[in-house]
Amino acid sequence: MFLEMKNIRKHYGEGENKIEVLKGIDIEIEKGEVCVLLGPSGSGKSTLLNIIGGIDEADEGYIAIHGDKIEDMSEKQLTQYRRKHLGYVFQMYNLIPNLNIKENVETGAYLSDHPMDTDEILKGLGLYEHRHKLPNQLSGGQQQRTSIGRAIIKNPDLLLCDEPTGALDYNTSREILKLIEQINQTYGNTIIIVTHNDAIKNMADRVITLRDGQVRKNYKNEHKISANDLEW
Amino acid sequence: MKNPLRKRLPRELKEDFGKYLVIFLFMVLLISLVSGFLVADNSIMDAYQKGFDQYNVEYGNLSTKNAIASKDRKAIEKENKLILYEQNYYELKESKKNATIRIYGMRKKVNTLCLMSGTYPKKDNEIALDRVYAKNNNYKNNDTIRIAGKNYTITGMVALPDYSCLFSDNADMMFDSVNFGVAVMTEKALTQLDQNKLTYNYAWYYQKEPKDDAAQKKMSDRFLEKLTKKVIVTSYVPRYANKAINFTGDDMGGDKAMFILFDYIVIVILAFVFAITTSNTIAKEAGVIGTLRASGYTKGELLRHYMVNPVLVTLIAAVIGNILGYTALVDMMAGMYYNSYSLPTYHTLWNAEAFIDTTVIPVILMFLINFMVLSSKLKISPLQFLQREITKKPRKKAFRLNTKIPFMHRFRLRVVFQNVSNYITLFIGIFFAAVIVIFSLMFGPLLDDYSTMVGKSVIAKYQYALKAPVTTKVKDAEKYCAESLKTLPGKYMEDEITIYGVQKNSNYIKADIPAGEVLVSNGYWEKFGVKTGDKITLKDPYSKKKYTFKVAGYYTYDAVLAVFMNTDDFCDTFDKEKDYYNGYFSKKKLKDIPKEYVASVITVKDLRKVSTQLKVSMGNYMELLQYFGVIMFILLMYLLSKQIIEKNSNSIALTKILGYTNGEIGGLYIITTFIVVALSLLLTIPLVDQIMKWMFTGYLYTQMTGYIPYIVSDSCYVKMLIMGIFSYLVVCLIQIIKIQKIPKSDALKNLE
Repeated sequence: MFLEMKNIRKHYGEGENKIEVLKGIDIEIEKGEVCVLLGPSGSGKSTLLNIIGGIDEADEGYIAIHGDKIEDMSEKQLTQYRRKHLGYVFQMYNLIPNLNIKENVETGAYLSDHPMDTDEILKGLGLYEHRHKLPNQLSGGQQQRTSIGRAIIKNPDLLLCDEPTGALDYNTSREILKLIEQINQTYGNTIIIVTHNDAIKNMADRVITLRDGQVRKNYKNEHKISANDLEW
Repeated sequence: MKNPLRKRLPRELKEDFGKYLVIFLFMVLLISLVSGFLVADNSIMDAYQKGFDQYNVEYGNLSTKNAIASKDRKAIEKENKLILYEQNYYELKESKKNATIRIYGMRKKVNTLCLMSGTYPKKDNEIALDRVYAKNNNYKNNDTIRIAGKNYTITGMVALPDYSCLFSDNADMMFDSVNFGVAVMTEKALTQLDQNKLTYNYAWYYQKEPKDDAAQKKMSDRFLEKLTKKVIVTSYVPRYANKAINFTGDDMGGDKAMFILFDYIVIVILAFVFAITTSNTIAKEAGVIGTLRASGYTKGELLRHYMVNPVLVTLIAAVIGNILGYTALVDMMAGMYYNSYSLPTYHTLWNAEAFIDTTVIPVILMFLINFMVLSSKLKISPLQFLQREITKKPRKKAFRLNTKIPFMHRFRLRVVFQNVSNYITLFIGIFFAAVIVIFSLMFGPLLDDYSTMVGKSVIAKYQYALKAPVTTKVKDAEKYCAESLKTLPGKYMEDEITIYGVQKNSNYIKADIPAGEVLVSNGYWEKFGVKTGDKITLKDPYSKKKYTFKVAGYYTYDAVLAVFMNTDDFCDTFDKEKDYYNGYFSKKKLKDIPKEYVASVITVKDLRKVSTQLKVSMGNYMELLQYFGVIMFILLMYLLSKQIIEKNSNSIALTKILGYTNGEIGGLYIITTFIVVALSLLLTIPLVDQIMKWMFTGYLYTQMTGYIPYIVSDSCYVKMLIMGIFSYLVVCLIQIIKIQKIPKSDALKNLE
């Protein structure tokens, strides 16, 4: 099993203000799967993604990637784990405003010992002709593509996408999802997409629905469709 | 692969050009001044110290009542293993300025001359003047100077190595290069001067060089003991105790320490300014940093990235500052010393210590302070960055402000609370700039006040010191006795204390001095922290004898450090006859006293020497400091208020969208900063007062002999307030333009 989560629990606040965000999550994800984590606001999906990404800690339980438990890692090891194995895409693109598109993608390449070719990635993302532009000269969709380029250039084992289409319109969102699907097909990365958009589950290999910090549904999608055919 | 973040560095410099430029220019200014000063100081110090050998500076000089007979001279030389060199001088008044000129013959073996410009005198009516005295009195080569009624042509400017500092008397608290000068003439010209003004003076030079000051002191003490058995000594000044020779070196050492300290403090403040502005950038880029950290960038990589520009700017500023220091400023800084001291010519020397103080240490300080502040800022987790919880303990709720406070006031209070770190740095910067400004402003009025106080508390219009008792018919002349003792070494330098024996019911010193006790002058009282009932111990400078006195209180006499006692007690203490006296206090000139009986006449002008000379010596420094303080005011106010505007650009844009006018927004942000600036300026007044007091009592008094009262005229604080507020008004104009330029679309940026 590529990714294994056992009894993940997480709370915020203390006393009267204590909120149980995750109440014992058990999930397994296979290598190369596109997994969609669905759920309404406050269901704990982003928290779970952050714990998988090693930028948040679980109170209980463990997460293992290739059998390596994240909980056992020191802060330095966690940074190295993220550096070598993870790619992150957020709803806000968080691009560096005074680096051009190519340089923004290169910030991801720098982290890898064997990065992919920047120009190839840019061409694949349809950004090659915009490579010398600054982020504020591009549309939201192009900026999100840049942030995906930054995440995938190091060819991560696991690509974590937190609401990657949350700030985008329908057409642009579909373009982004197609891109994610294409990445999965080309490079075989495991991809976890956190979203509240129910339609996106249709492109996933695995669908996990969270509600009130618990897994309500966890199933392999037998009727997977192409991102190009998604509608909402 | 090189870190692509490095490509941001030049772009950040360009984007925040204003901030980097002003800090850079200020650092260049600071470092070039300090470097120029240190290089000048070192080069001059080298020339000054080499001058001891180069110009064969004496190991001491002595004056005798009569010329030493050749036989005695040989005996003295043999017995004490030294050589005596005749160095007689004439002390005459310059006719126009009434200044005192001490004229020597052309020295050939000891204390040889350094010709700074022109030529040495060759004819009977020619004279070479000390360069500093000439400059202070506007004399140039080929001018005519009238001395004791006779005209002389100035052929050249000289420096006498035994008068690098123009002390007319070693007992003087301060030198006076305006009213006292030295000069040289041919031996033949000297014979034509008034022989009554001749002082028999001899410089001595040991055959075997003493290894240090302690050995010198031992040898000179032994020499004095033997000498007094053979001749009547009227003055005896060994080199180690000669202010005219040593004051320059001591003063240069003290100035150097002050400059280095000043350099470090300003760099520390600038480092904090950099650290705070970079912290704000980190806060602004929290999302980006969170993403980079989540992607695997280490804290160290980001820390290095944010530290490069401040450290690089400091390094470049230090290099350019040093180049300017060595080239453009070294002569200007040297000029400050050459205005005060009569020094030989110098050559600019490479100074490794200056390089460390102005380049290595500033870069290290910049590195350490930024490292400290920024590593703490970057300590938070990637998630906290992503969620923009950029403080380690994020405030959960905004604290409540009383709704009775009008809305605009509450808004302003929120601005203050949101920018506390900026305002704290602003306060510290204002405080330091205020110290510099007050320090530069206070000395002028202080010296004027002191001069007035000296005038008011002067004992008599004329104070005669006699070589031997002599009577006068002037009715109100009053006899007094005086001796000179020294304080014991300790926290303060050895101070010369004048002990006055005062007649009962004196018309000049109106104080009730109890028998067996003494009054000390207010300066003594203040400087040494003496209280009623304390016992003070003083020593005879020429013997090991010590005297202890019980203090009954103080007497207001600002001119010198003094002790007042009854004549009976004085005669008992110093083993004198009951009718002994050696001076007169008088309201009028004592014209009936033969001149040969008069050792000196002290007038108010003499007592005001200290303030006169300090004004001349410190004028340049003070002006420079004043400019520096104002620039610092403007710089800090500009940088920190710019930060506040930038940090709040979203809110400003939002208030614009809500319909607030630029004027109203300025009222919220600029007026708030103005209030903080004004309050900071006011709050610094008592703090600056304390610091200045400490600088006087804890530092200045330990570095100088004599006493200057601590007085800061209220006008100084008013001027400082005006300068501070004026500086902010200049900054305001720039900030108003900045507010006008913030687009409304900023409100929509980076909002999640």
